[in-house]
Amino acid sequence: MARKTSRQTSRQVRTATRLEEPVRHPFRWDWLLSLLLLISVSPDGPFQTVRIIPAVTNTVLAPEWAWDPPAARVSAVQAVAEWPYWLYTVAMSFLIASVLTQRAETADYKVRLAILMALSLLSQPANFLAAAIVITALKVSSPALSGDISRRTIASMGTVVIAAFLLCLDFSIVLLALTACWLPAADRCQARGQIAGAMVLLTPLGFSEAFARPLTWLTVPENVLPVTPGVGDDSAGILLLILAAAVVSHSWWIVWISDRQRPAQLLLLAVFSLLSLTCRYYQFVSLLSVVCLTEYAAVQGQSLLGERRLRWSVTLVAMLLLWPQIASYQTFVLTGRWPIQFVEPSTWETSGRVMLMQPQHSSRWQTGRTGETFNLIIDDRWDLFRDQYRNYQQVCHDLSEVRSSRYLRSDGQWGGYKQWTEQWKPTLLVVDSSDLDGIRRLSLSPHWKVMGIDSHRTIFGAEDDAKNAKQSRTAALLLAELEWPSPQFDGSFGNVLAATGDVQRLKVARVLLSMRLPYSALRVMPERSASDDMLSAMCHFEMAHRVFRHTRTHTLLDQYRAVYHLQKLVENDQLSAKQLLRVARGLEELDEPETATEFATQLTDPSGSNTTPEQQWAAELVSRCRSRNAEEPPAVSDNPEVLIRQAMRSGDSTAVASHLGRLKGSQHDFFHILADSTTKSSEDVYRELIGLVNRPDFPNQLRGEALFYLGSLAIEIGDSPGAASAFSASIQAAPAQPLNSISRVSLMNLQKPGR
Amino acid sequence: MAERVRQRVVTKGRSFLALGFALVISLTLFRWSSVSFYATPQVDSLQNASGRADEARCIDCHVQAERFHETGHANALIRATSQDSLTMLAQFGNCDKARSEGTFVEIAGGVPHAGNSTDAVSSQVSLDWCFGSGRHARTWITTLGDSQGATDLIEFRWTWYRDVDGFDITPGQPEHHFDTHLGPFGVLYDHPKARRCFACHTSYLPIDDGRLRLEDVETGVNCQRCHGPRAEHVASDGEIHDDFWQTASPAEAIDRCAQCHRRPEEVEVDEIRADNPDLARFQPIGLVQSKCFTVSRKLTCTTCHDPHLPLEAQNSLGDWQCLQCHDSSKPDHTLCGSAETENCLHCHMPKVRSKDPIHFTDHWIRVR
Repeated sequence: MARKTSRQTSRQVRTATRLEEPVRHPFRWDWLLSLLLLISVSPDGPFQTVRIIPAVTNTVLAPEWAWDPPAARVSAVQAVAEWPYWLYTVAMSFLIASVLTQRAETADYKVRLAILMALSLLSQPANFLAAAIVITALKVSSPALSGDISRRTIASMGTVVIAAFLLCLDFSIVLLALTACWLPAADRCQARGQIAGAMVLLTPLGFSEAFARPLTWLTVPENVLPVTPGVGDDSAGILLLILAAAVVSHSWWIVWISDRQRPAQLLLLAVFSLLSLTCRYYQFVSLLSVVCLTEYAAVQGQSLLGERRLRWSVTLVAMLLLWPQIASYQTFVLTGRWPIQFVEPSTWETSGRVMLMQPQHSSRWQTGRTGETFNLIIDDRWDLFRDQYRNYQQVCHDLSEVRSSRYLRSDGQWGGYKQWTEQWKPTLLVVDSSDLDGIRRLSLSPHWKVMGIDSHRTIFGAEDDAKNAKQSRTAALLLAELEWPSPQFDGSFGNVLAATGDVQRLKVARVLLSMRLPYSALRVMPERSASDDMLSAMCHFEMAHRVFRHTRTHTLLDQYRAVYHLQKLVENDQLSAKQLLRVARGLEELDEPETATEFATQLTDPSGSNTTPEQQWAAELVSRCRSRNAEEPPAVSDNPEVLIRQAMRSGDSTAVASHLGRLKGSQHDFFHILADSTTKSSEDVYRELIGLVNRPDFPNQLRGEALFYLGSLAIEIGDSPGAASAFSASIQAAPAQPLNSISRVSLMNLQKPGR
Repeated sequence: MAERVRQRVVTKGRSFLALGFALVISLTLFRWSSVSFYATPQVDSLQNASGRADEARCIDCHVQAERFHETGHANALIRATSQDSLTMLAQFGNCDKARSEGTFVEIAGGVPHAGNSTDAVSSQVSLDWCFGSGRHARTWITTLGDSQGATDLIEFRWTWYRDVDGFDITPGQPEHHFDTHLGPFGVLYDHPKARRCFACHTSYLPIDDGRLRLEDVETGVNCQRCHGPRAEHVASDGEIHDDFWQTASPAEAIDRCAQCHRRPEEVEVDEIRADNPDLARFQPIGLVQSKCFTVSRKLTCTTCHDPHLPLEAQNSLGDWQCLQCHDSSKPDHTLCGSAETENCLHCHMPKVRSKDPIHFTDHWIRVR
């Protein structure tokens, strides 16, 4: 008892000591945490090259008066303009930590860590110089802040201003940030008039458009350049915005409780607060400026224990962010090479102009060999392209709708992309890999051929550009191999597909499915998991459609698996309204009006007040299907085979089980295998089906169909010889069955010479 | 006293602060709410439902609308179940070529279906729409949907031609059909192509997520297809007026017609040559090659054609249009080398037969 009391006392003493201890090595901690966060948000690991100093404008549509930071035109500067990402993270985290260290004495640790997270997660390589200049400004102005307005201090401050002008594209926002840093000293600075005059003089030197960038971003169409944070972002982006909003609100609170509220400070705080919440491009510098403007008060009685816990929590967040890349790090440790995350167009033996459907991704095309090989038609320099974005947006819209010829738009202007692409002559067209609708339609275009796919971009090449011929043929061959694999196929993607981690594979699989390549999508998608149910169900749905579209015959194997799993997803609320409507429409096209109605009614409001377009379209679908059912009522039959087929087409497992009992012998076994296909792996179903079709008592009228399913399963699991022999046997067994049309196409692809 | 002054200053500062913060929040919310404004691209005028007037109102004031329903434009698309379509399809059995391929048409309960039966393999599709006015030809299509409900179509392999008053292979389709289950019925076109087909044969074509809402379509080319939405015009008793057709340059006017009748940039450069008989089908392409257009810069489609009237009621076959620039009584006019003063079209704009049993007037006006 005495020992226990002694232990308790000693713990209390230790805790008390911790509470009283000053924070040890806050800079080192902040730097490490920031470094970890920066590495965790890197899209393709620490070895990519990033651009620190802006490239000289070489975009096709750039006007002659285009202004670039003067230093960018110096070749010696360009030689050091690109850094490996790891170097950037080391340097940037150093800068962020140094800002926080200056506030270690005064700011609450919770606030400090919030600032650290927000700044680290919002920073971009393009912000590095701006951050460096702002932080240097803080350093050089510290004597001024304590009342020392010497010539040396003013000279240092002037040098910082000139550096901002020479190195930063957004020098005006940097100058504004510098003003924020020096504001506390401004009252004491007798030279403030001269400094202000110098800044005014810099304005009209032929770069007024660049100078006005912090204002003109407001006119940028969101569709072309998503400038507003939070709009269209995922949950991580929303959380980041909330974090930034918290930091901003806290700064306003500090000003509220302080006695000294100067109008200039308030004005700058308002400007930077607004920018940090509304403009993605200025979030980092604005937030940094908000932090610099805020005179944090010293906080009494900070708990070191709480700070340690919070630091470990931030570390955990960083580790969680890093988790999706863990496989890449493993590969790097084992092989010494970082797995390829992006296809590399500079290796495709093509060159020329590139049209980005999303110009916000332009930096990747202005770096390294890619930057030397290609030049963009338009990029994210809204000061140069502000007036052209609206037209560019229309052209991109027409491209994604495959509207080549001219058509009259509702504004009386001519739409149609051909008139523009003939002027601009793009060699490559780059679509975001999440734009699945656009990719689906473009894959049908006669003018564009797919050249490469990764989890971020799907790249199409102009069909009439001879330079693209080699890569587009390579891509076509690989996609054919993925869809109908040859025995020689080793599973490598070459430089056509890049998908290493599970997340990346899932994204690429979605792209392949959108291009109506369901077997390829299944082959690329990662090992099955609950989160992939949707994708695999949609793959089987696409397979069922492919067969029905070309043969007007249902494939029970694919349709049953698809509809059964889609119903489960609906039960678990895992389908969005758009997905639900599309599935319902797909079922309507599969000649399943009743099942389509079941799906569509999930969307409609029982009271009849359908407000969203999806609800209204779903209600129309229900009405269409009901009138169709009234005109052509489904045939009534007591034949168990007919009934089980109907049940399988509508994914009704209960009815399948009940009708199955009425079947006998091989017929029963055949439908039993199909019924089990929803719970068993394709390999197991394939093996069971092989055993069944080889049985002498298997009825001839089912043999052709069973062999067709066998061929389909063989393609799915990658057994190409098995698929070829199954399809051939299927045609022989039932020469008149409609399914032979698909069997012949599959055979032609599986046995194509030269593969 | 000093404390009170300080307190007043602080209070005033806080008011500004509250105002500033409210302004920041308001501007942030305004920016977020106005984002969609910047994000909306312009749509195809065919999809625009707003501002459309009831077509039946045009005839109240415009005499031109009286016979418009007889024009080819007005009948550019009809439902396959309509009487005109069924009457033509009833002749399908006379087509030996189709019969030799095993293709037949059945009409059950007023709904036409195409069937094919060879070597015990049989297949069937419904015929849903009939394209073309029937002045030259008519082609049927079957609509299909893809896995997401987007509309695709099968262009029927067999077209009715007025010249032969019967069926033959549809222009552009291969001599031998594809060896697939639906190959005997024609060529399958995906969604973008299906949309293009309907876009030229309709005046209002709503689309929901890739699905053509054919139940709501306005078939044929009607008044508002060329004159634009006219609800405001009707509501203002004609006060609000769009003067495009009065003020458009000849090139702009031809461009409007060429939206469907084809522009030069829509064919390969080497296809635009005088000896290409298939070019006659695309009248604007020929017209803009003609010296009558390139030299006069006044000639448009409506110089000769009145699109409000059926072709037989138009005075488009006479010579008065030609004589405006080639009048033998005017010494400064360029005259016909063979000294002809009438029947100009016979030599300068003859009817040309394409590969298919169909004749088109060659609008490439030239000395032959």
